[in-house]
This record gives sequence, structure tokens and C-alpha cells, in this order.
Amino acid sequence: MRKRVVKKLHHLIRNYAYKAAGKNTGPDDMDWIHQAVVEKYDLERIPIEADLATNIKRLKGISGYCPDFIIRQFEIGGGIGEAAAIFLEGMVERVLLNENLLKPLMIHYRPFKPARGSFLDQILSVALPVDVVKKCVNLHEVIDHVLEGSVVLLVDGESEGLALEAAGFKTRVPEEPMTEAVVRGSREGFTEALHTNITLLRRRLKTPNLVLESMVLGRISHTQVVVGYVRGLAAPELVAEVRERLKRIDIDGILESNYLEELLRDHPLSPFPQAITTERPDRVAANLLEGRVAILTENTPFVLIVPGELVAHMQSPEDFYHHFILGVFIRLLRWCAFAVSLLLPSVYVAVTTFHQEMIPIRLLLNIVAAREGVPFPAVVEALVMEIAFEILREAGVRLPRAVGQAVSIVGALVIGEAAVMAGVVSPLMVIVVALTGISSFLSPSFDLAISIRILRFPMMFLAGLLGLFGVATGMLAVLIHLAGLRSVGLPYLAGLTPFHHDDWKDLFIRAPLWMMRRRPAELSENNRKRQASGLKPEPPDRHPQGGTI
Amino acid sequence: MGEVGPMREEGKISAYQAMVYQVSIVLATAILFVPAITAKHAKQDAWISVIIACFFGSLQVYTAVSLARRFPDASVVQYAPLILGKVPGKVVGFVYLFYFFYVGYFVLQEFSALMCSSYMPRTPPIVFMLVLSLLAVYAAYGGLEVICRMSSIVLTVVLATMVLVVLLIIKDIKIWRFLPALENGLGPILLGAIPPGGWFGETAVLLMLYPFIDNKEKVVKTSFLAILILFIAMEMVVIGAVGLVGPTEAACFLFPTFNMARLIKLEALPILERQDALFMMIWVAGMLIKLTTFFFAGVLGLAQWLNVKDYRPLILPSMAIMMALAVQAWENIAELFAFSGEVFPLTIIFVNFIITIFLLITAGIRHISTRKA
Repeated sequence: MRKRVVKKLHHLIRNYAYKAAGKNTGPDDMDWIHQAVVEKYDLERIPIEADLATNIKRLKGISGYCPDFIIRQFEIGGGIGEAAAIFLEGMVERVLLNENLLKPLMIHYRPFKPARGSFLDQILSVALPVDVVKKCVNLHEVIDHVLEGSVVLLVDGESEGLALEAAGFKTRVPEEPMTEAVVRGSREGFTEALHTNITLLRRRLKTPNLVLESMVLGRISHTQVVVGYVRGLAAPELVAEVRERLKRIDIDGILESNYLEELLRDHPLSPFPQAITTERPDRVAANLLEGRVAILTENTPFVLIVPGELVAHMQSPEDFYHHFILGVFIRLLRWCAFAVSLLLPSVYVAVTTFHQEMIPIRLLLNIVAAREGVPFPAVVEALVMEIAFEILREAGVRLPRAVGQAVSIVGALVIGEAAVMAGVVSPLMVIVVALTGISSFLSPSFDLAISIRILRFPMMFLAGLLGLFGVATGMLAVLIHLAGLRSVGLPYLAGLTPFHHDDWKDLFIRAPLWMMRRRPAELSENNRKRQASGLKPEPPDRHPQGGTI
Repeated sequence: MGEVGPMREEGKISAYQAMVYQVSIVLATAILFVPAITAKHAKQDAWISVIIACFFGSLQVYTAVSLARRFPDASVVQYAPLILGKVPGKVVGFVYLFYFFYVGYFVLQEFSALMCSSYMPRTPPIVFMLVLSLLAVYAAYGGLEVICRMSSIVLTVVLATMVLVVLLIIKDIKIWRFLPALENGLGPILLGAIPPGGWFGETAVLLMLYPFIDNKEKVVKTSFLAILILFIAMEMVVIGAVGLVGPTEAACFLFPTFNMARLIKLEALPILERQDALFMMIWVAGMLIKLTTFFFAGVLGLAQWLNVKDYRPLILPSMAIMMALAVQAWENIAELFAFSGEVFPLTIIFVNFIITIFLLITAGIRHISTRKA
């Protein structure tokens, strides 16, 4: 409300300033090229004139004579009328433009008799074999459509234009997701093109209840953002909340979905991710079926899913693509790895420094022998090694592929063999660091792995200071923090607490599909049932209906 | 009489979360002290004392629930003036809220005493107090819901560990250590029942939680469930401690539950021996929820007593005062131990039972209630 008033005031002042300066505010007198910025407000005030030449002159001025802004002037049907096609080179499909717009208009057009409606309507109904056409009435609409990849057709004598959808820019085809590889399951990943992503999603959930709401965010970037959910599964309050939070975003550009995540989180300072980020359409589909909401952003393959509580970050769709026993095993392994990647270095430090009695005697002797030549206390050793590992890991990501191999060889030597030989670290420490590093890759969510990676350091510090008491303190602080978090209103520990016994079938384990009759309790209060009961398959002779024996 | 009510929407908790709160507020210290204190009086019949204490605890919690149900939208600090008149009501309200702080600093002192005596003798006790109270402050800033969520996870882990420890020592428990039963008659058993009875009575914290509970109709059930859980937990440690080392030795230990963990002996899995530092980690978590629940109830009560809209500004000052009280209150661990066995149970019984039943009877006689018909 306040924003709108300020805007209005701003415009009033500007108009007044023009008048006071004795300037005509007409578009032809404005020096568009030297304008500081072309405002939407200015453009909206310029209608499409009946005179084509005027329109073209203005558009050229507004576009700043950019080389890719093309205005193709031509005659309709050999002298029936003058027209111009306006488009951005590279944003439109050439063949479509030539075959479905220029060819029919320039070569095949015959006036329709008796004439019905305006000239523009006639062209639209007989000569333009293009599926999606929108009308535009002012230059703002013209420019907007052109920037989105449409071709705008202006005809002399008509004060309306036609925007023909012809976007045809180069995009990547769906490939296997780089960050979330699976052994079994779909190998398609999202791409940068929004319509491809929507198609990938539609193909998985073929229901009219898959609702996609589009909005444009970013003052300059005009990024299309699509909110997707399954009607009847996602709580209406949740959808409204997501919509509300997205609408509040007023930023110049949105280049990646993290811009959105950061601006719609409940707890901006928390290190824990509050939305699931994924490249996998099947993961999005699985989460939509649980009643969550997906946010697709143009120009990034990463889709956000909210709410993203802790447990949801530990679930991967692949858990359901294998036999459930493997699923159970992997889930348990994953939670163990989660604990290991957070706690192993700090527990090692605490135990070797403060609680040696916990180590079996023989192992203790080995540790003592191995640590004999190491000049640093365990905590320093651990911190140094962890930081070295982080450096190598970051380097591995950023380095050009050709150099990558060299780095990995040198890295293996530096934090392995050589460091031990030189007596800088003990061999056990190398094992600890390696195990910790590997464990963090078991998490299906890269974001969660990052927060664990960061929390590891204060934990080591506490362990070096207070031993296992310090570790307990750190864990409790994290627990209190987690208990206070919410992800778009959903408690971050949902699933663990408040307790719902049905949810535990998809928590530390993954139950067989026939047992998972209900959706997550906190998400789908009104629509709990996922499937029919009695789905457990049985041999035919024991089946109540069938059986020949 | 509709002017009292929750001062600020603190979110709603379910009756089961309230149960978690009730269990958390008792468990951590009770399991630590009860075996020694009870075994001192009741000897090998300590387990019977716990049963008697359980009945006494049920009586106390039922009294508290009956009182709370008369005033569904307010806490005891708020409605005490309605029942007794302004000044006496305020005094009683202050007794309640001071009781929470009082147990709070008792817990702090207990905690640091145990950490110093058993694990880190050269670290100054103030370090342990500071760390634990900072965590409690952090949780209190989160509010009631956060405390309940945190407690439910910690409590699950604590109870699971207790069961594990008992399972590991069960083979060393000797039945003959409980014999002869009722050697000295009922007197010592009743005497031994008083301290655990006091601890059971701490579940009367429901008087503070009641206005925030969502499904109030379940409160009676969940309160008794809380007593049952506590009963099983206490019975486990009492039987474990007495059965493992005999009543005389159990009474001599300062913290028999810890010694239980230390006495785990397994030839097949020697790795599980001497893991009492892990037990300490879990117990720290238990102490944290105990301190947090008391501290939060106290701060909430203080804010209601002072008619402040938000309790959060009171958190840090209250904790500072609590720490100061904790530091000066007891000279050494022997004094603390004697206090916790002889004075402490009677004080908390006075607050949780005597005052509560007095309020209940007065309200009954004067027909005061804010419950809608």
C-alpha cells in the first residue's frame, strides 16, 4: 500500500518537473538513448499509434539500436498494407518466423471478402498459423513480449499489435543430474528451460490437480517463477503462505533458486537448509505427492521444495526404487553417516584427550605409539587436517578438469602418506578425516551436508576444550536450535517430534510400500490416505479372492 | 473473573508434550539420587518405598490436575489471588515461582558437583554451571514449544539409555540382595518413600502448563502416564543399584546410578565396559531438560506474577540470580547431599502438595472457578 502511494507521488513529481521545464512529455521528444533508465511507467503511457513509422521510430529509440533488436518491415499481400515484425534475434525460432508469419503474410495473403472485423482480426483468423497469439496495446507490452521471445506484428493503420509466441532459444536437453546420481531410477534431470522442467513434472503427475501458478519476480531480470502443488494434497494455507512470501520479494534479479530460498526462509541466520533443493523431477513429484509445494525458477535446474524439514533432507526417492530391505539398510547407514560426519573428529579428539579409559587397551597402545612423534595436541591436529581436507575438496570442485587429477594425486599425498611420514599427523587422524569426509557424501541433500560440514568445526573446538561434555553441549545446542526452527511454518523436527507413529515408517527406515498407507501427518492433515489397504502381495493360494489350489 | 488468561500466545502444546515436560522435570536428578537416599532408610526394601511413593505422587498430580481444571485459562500464579485474595494470593504465587528457581539452582549445583567429583575434578564448578545455564537460557528464549520438542527427543534417548544400562547389568543383579523383605517393618519404608514421593510431586508443574495445553481432556490420562514412566524409571535404577551392590553400599555411593554404568562388565563385548563417559553425555542432556523445564516454569511464573506481557526480558536476569544463588547455597557436596535427602523433599512436598491442596480446598469452599459450565 505504502509502496504504491510512493510510486504515485514519484510519477506526479516527475510529470510536474517535465511541465515546469517546459518540455513536452511526448515520446518523440524524449531522448531515449540518453535516458537514465526506461521505466515501465513511461512505456505504458505510450500507445501503439496507427502510424507504423512513428511506432518503429519510437521502438528503435527505446531499444537503443541494439544489433539483436530486429524490426523487419514488409508489405502484406503485395501492397495491401504495410507491416513490421519485431523480435530479438536468437530468441525466436527462425523457421517458425519465416514459414508461419512472413511467408503467409507476404506471399499468400488474399483479402478476405466480405470483410469481417478489423484488418488485424482478418490477418489473425486467416493468415497466421501460430498457436499462441496475444494482443498488445502499448509499447510496454510490445517490448515485454519481444524480450520474452515473441514476435510482435505491427500493422500500419492499426493501433494494436499482435504478439506471436515463437520463442526458440537454445537450451540444454535433459541430462542425468550431476549432483544426484542414482543407480536405479529415472536419469532425467531438470534443465535451465522452465517449460522443459514443467513438462518433466507433468509427465510424472498426469492430473488436472497439478496446479502451476506462475509469477514474474525480479525488477530487472523478470524471472519467471512457478509454484507447483497438487490440489487436495498441499494444505491451502501452506500454498497461500508460499505465494505470500514470494510476492514479498522485490529484488533486482533472481539468478538462481537460492535467491528465493534465502528470501523466504523462516530463520535467515540458521545454517540449516529450510527448503529441499533438487535437480530430479522424480524427487519433486514424490514430494508433491506428500503435500509439499515446489518452486521452479527459470534459468536454473535446481527446484526448491518447501517445507523442507530435517527428515525430508534425509530421504531420497531412490530409497523406494530398490528392495525395501536395501532401503532400510541405506537409511540407517545414512543416519549413521550423518552422525559420523558431524561428530567423528570431535569424539576422536575428546576421547583421546580426556577419556582414554574408553578405548580398548590394545588400540590405546597403538594410538599412543602412533601419536608419539606428533607435536600437536589432538584438537590442533584435527583442525589442521579438516581444514586441509576442505581446501582440497573446494579445489577439486573449482579446478579445471585437466588439472583436477594432479590435485587429487598431490592431495592424497599431502593429507595421507607424506603428512604421516613427516610426523605432522598420526595415521589414525588421517582415517578419521577421510571417514568424516566420505560420510558427508552419503547425505542426499547437499545443503544439509554443508551445514554439517560447518558445524563440525565448533564441535571439534568444544571437544578440545571440554571433552565429551563439550561434545554433549554442542549437540544440545544444535538440538535446541533445531527444535526452534520451522520451515514455512512446519516444525523442522517434524516426524521426530511431535510423534506420529505412521511417520516413523519413513524416517530411520523405509517401510515396504504396502505398509506406507498414510502421508506425513503434519503435512497432509486432511488427506492422510495414500493407498488402499491390504496391498501386501501374497501367493495365489493364500489370497482370499484367488487361488486355484 | 475473566481478566486472567495466558499473557501471550506461547503456542499450544499437546497433552503428550505436557507429559514429556512432566517427566523431564523429574527424571534426571531423581534417578541419580533416589537409589542412595531411599536405600539409606529402607535398605533392601527400597523398591517397596518407590511403589508407595508412586501412589503418593499420583495423589499429588491428581490434586494439581483438579486445581488446574478449575482454571483452564490461567496458571496457578495468576489465579492464586482469585482464590485467596490479593495479598495472600500474591504471596502464594511467589512461593510457587520461587520454588521453581529454588529447584533450578539446586539442580545447577547438583550438576556441577557431580561433574567435578566424577569427571573433571580440576575444572572450576562455575564452568559447568555457566555452560548448562547458557543452554537453558537458549532453550527458554525458544519458548514452550521448543522446550517440549527438545525434551521429547532428549527424553527418548535418556530412557533408552537407562533401559540399555539396566539390560547390561541385569545378569549381575542378585535376588538375595533384596532379602529378607520387610526386615525392619513399615516405618523405614515409609521414611524412604518421602524423597521419591517429593520427586514424583514435581509433576505438579502442570499447574503452570495447563493453560497452554491443546487437548485438555487428556490431561488426567497423560499425567498418570507420566507418573507411570517415572515409576518404571526409578524402580529400574533402585532395583539395579540395590541388586548390583546391596543396599548398604548403594546408600554409601553418592551417585549409585553412575556407579551402575561403571559396573558394567561384559566378557563377550569388552568395548561396552568403561563407557560411562557416554552415559555422562546422556545425563548432561537429562540435566539440561530438568534445568530448562524448572527455569522456564519459574520465568513464566515470574512474568505472570509481575504482570509483564513477555517473559523473555526476564530470562537473563533470572538466570544470573539463579547462578549466584547456586554458587553460594551449599558449601560442599556432602552438605548438598544431606540437603537433598532431608530438607529438599519436604520443601517440594510442601509446595506441590500442601499448598496445592490448600488452594484446591479453598477454591472448592468458595466456589471459585473460571471454567465454563
